[in-house]
Parts: sequence; C-alpha cells; structure tokens
Amino acid sequence: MKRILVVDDEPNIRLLYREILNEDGYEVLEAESSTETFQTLNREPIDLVILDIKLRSESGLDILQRMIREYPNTPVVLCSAYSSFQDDYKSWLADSYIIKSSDPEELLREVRNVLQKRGNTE
Amino acid sequence: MAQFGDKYCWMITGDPSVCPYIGQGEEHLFDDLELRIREKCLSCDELRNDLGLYASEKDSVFGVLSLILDELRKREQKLKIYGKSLEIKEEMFDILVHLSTSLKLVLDVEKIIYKGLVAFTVGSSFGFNRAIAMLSDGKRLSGYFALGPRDYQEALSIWGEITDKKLGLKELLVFSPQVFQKEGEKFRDILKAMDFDINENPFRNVFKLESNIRVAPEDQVPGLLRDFYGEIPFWIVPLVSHLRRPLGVIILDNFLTRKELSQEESKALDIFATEISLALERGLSYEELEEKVETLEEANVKLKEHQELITKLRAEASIGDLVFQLTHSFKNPIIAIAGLARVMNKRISPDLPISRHINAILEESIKLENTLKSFVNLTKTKFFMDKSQLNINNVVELIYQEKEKTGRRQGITFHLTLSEKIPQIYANDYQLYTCLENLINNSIEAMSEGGEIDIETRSQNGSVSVEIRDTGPGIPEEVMKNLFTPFFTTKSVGSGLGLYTSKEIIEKMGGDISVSCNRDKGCKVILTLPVTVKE
Repeated sequence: MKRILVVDDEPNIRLLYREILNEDGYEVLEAESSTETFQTLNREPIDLVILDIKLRSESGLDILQRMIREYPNTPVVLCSAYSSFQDDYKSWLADSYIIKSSDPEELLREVRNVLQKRGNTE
Repeated sequence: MAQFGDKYCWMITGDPSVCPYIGQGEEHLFDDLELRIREKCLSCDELRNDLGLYASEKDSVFGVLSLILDELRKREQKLKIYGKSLEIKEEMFDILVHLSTSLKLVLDVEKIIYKGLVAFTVGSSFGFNRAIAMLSDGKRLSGYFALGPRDYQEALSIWGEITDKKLGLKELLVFSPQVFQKEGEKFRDILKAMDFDINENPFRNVFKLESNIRVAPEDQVPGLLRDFYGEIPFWIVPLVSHLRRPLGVIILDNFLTRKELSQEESKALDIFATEISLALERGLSYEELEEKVETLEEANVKLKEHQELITKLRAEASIGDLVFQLTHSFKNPIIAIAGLARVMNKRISPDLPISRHINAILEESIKLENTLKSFVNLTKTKFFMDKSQLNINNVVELIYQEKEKTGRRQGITFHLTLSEKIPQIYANDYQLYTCLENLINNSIEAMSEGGEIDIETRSQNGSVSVEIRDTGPGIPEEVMKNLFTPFFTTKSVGSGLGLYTSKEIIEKMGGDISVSCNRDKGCKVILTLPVTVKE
C-alpha cells in the first residue's frame, strides 16, 4: 500500500483528502507544518507528498525547495486554492499540481499519474 | 599764362575768361575775389608758377609766399586724409553702435550671426564683399551661414539694390528670414563642405591669438579653403566666449574689390568680433538652457506617466492581493464542506432521510464553489486582461528603475537603451510588467556574483521588442530543452525559470519570447510583440 503524506494547515481539508485517498486504497499520513513534514519524512518512507502551497505561516514552496534538496526521490503534488500560483517559477519544480476542488477526480488522477511515472523511472 | 595785360588773373573781377577752374554754380567767385583766392587759387598750379617766377628775384617776398603756399597745400592734403579716416571711423562707430543695440535683446543664434555678417559687409568702412560664419561644438568647426555675392554679376545687382532702395544700416540689420534662407541656400555647398578640426591651422592659431589674422594666398591652409578663396587673401576672425572657449569664426574676403585692411580697421574687426561673441555666447547658452528645459519638461511628463502607471499597477496588485486572500479563505472551507458532503453522500444509503439533507449541503456548497470560481475569473479578466495603448519604453523603464537598485546590491550593472521612436502597442500593462519582471529576475538570479544586464527596446516591421542580455553562466543544455515546459522534473536545477508563464502570456498577446544561451557567456532573451491598435 502506497503511503501519502498530506501537508495542509486546514484540518478539514486533511480530513477530506484522507477520506478520498483512503477510499482509493492509499495509506494517509498528515502534517500541518514544515516541522511535522520533515519529521515524518525522516521517520518513515513516504511514496508521495501532497503539499498545500500556502500554509498559515509558511510557504509550501519553501518546503518544496527543501524537499528537492533532501528528498529528491519523493514526488510532490502541489495544491493550491488559486490557479495563479503557477506564476511562481518555483512551483514548476513540483511533479504535478492541482487546484483545490471538492471533486476528488483530479486529485486521484494526478496522484496515480505521478506514482506511475515515478514507478517507471525508478 | 595767368597774366592779363599788367594784371594777373587773381586780381581781375567780373571776367569769366580769366579762370577756367570756376565751374557751373560757382559764378559768384568771379566777383568775390577773396573767396576765389581761398577756394581756387590756393590749389592753382598757375598761381604757384607765378609766385615762383617772382621768387627768383633777389630779396623778393614772393619766395616766402611760395614756401607758405607749399606748406599750406601739404597741410590741406593731410587734413583731407584725416577727414576721410575720421569719416570711416565715424561710420564704423555708427555700425558698432547699431550692431550693439540690435544684438542687445537677441537670443536667437541665427539672428546674431546674420546681424554680425551684415555688420561686416555693409558700408564703406569694412564693407567686406563676403562673410562666412562657422560655429564650433568644441571639437569641430562647421559651416553655419554665409552672406554676400558669389560672383561679380550678383555683386552688382545686390549693391545696386541696396543703393536703389536707399537701405540704411538700421534696415539692413533687421533679420530677414527670407534673406537668411536664400543666402544659406546659395552657399549650401560650401557651408556643408566646411568642417574642420578646431586644432587645425590656421584656426588653432586664430584662437590662440584671440585676434583676427590675414591669410595670404601663399599661406598654408586646408585644401577646401584654398580651393574656395584661390588667389585672394582672406581674414579669419575668432569668436570666443568670455572664458575663452572657441565659439566659432567668421571668414571675410574682398574677392571683388580686392581692398586691403588698415591696421586700425584690423583692430576694429576684433572689437566687432567681441560684440558678436558676447551675443553669441548668450544665444548659445540660451539655446542650451532651452534644450535643458525641454528635456526637463519631457522628463516631467514621463515621470507623471510613470507615476500613473505605478499607481495603476499598485492598485491592481493590491486588488489582486485581496482577491487572492479572499479566495483562499473562502475556498478552503467550501471545499472541505462540499468534499466531505460528497464522501458522506457516497457512504450512506440514499434511502435514509438524512441523505436528502446531505445532498442539499453538497448542492449548495458546490454552488458556492462555482460562484467563487467565476468571481475569481471575473476579477482576473477585469484587472489583468484590460488592454490599453501603451508605450513599452515606459514599462521597461519602470522595471529598470525598480530592478536597478536590487541589482546594484548584487554587483550587477544595468545598461538601458530605449528606442526613441517606438510605436505604441495595445496590451495589458500589468501582464507585460509581470513578464518582463520575470525575465529580468531570472537574469539577476543567475548572476549572484555580479555582472551586467543590457536591456534594449527596438521596433521593426510592425513589431516592438525588448532584448535582455546578461553575462550570467548561461543555461545547461538539458535544461534549455525543457525551458518552456512547465513542471519539468529536473529537480537538480537549483532555481527554475519563470519563462513558461511569461511565454504563455506573451503568446496570448500575439507575441513571442525567444531564448538563446552561450555557456559561460550569458543569455539573451528577446520578447517580441506585434504593434496592434485597439479594434
């Protein structure tokens, strides 16, 4: 079973993602901050990270950059409430991105795609 | 023989036959003996002969009289010469006074030179046949204006006209745009050809002496001057500022009358030149001042345009920020509600009464989600899609001003070259600003150790372009391939490039962004946009 870490500071969004992903057969771990994210990544193997671009007091992009340095093999799906986040070139370093929606389809599709791509290359 | 019987001619009154020197209108001299002696006899050679005859007689008083008469004649001759010289000086003084008065309030360089040349060519004092003025930019002397006939035929007609119309000094000194244009046209070939190094002789010499010089046909001068003046001498008069800065020269000649200059006239030439120099210096300073004022005014207009643009961009940015915040704080809760409602809806049996309630929550929250989405799109269109006629130079200059400061701290020198006549384009200034800022940011980020960034605007064949060149490390080949692909997975790249978004925006405007890089020699990014007008 693939393990996905959901990084978002909104507990209800984490709950939503957990429900959606569990239903599709993934194991879900949660983190609400940069500290928690890297603690989890240090502690156990993670197959994919879903990362909110804007946490309350931190930038998801900073977490992304650190991840690229420290965990270059862990794919990241960025998610954001707004579409303009692509303007920031740093966001392009993620493996994929989604715009937050109540419809789970896009999220599930991107997670499958990224995992498949990574699985093929590894 | 002046002897009539026992009388001499100077003793006989009332007889017209005694003196052939009395002309028409002087008949009264036949009767007025005393006046006749004063006016005619004193210069009459026959009287001198008669006196000479008697002078040979021993102890005659006529010997003394002969001497007195000779002396008297010499003095008269001198007096005539003095008189003529005085007349010339008076005329010169008159011209100088008129010139000085006429130049007093003039600031226009054309007028000053015109009046100066008229003063040198008018009247019988200097009355030079021709005058040519050259002005200096500090390094070169270039033909500016010339006055006078080009050949004998023309001289006759010009001088005839001045006499016929009884044109006085005052009238001649009044600036005439027609004459200025006509004369300038007449001498156009020579004025255009005249271009000398200020340090070339004889000019170097003239400015060193600060006094006019006469150039003889055998003197060494630049070929052009020798070709023009041939075998006639000419005078070069320097025009210098009060700080001894060369302002120009006036070249004078008498190619038709071949008149030479006396020492006194030569001195007067310099006095005239001083008068013209003073006015010229004032005129040139005024011109310079006017140019500066104009530049300042232009800068002011530009500043105002910039300020307006800044205000607009700031307003848009702050509205953008607001929308951003609002979307974020609304969207998360709505998504959580709608998403969880979906989950619940899926999990409970549709037969349960609560299913209807959950459905309602789901439907309403999806409605909210959609409303929010269209609101975001609307504001985006409103603020970030609105187009207007704009000058790309303004946008570039604005970014330059912003980025130059950031760059300087990093040891980056900016060079800005703006095309002067660039057509306006119809575009969204905020988008354009964002794109260009993105591109320049890339260059800045690529040069953490400092370097140079050249920004240049151009216009050609119905399009305008902005070229950004940096001296950064360039882009590795493998990255180059993926430059315009969003989210490429080369994670080894320390920082990406904001090219994708910029390219997308510019392509939507009908333009293009091209990138070419040389490893270790930096990158060149060219943003091109078509010149379009509002439909």
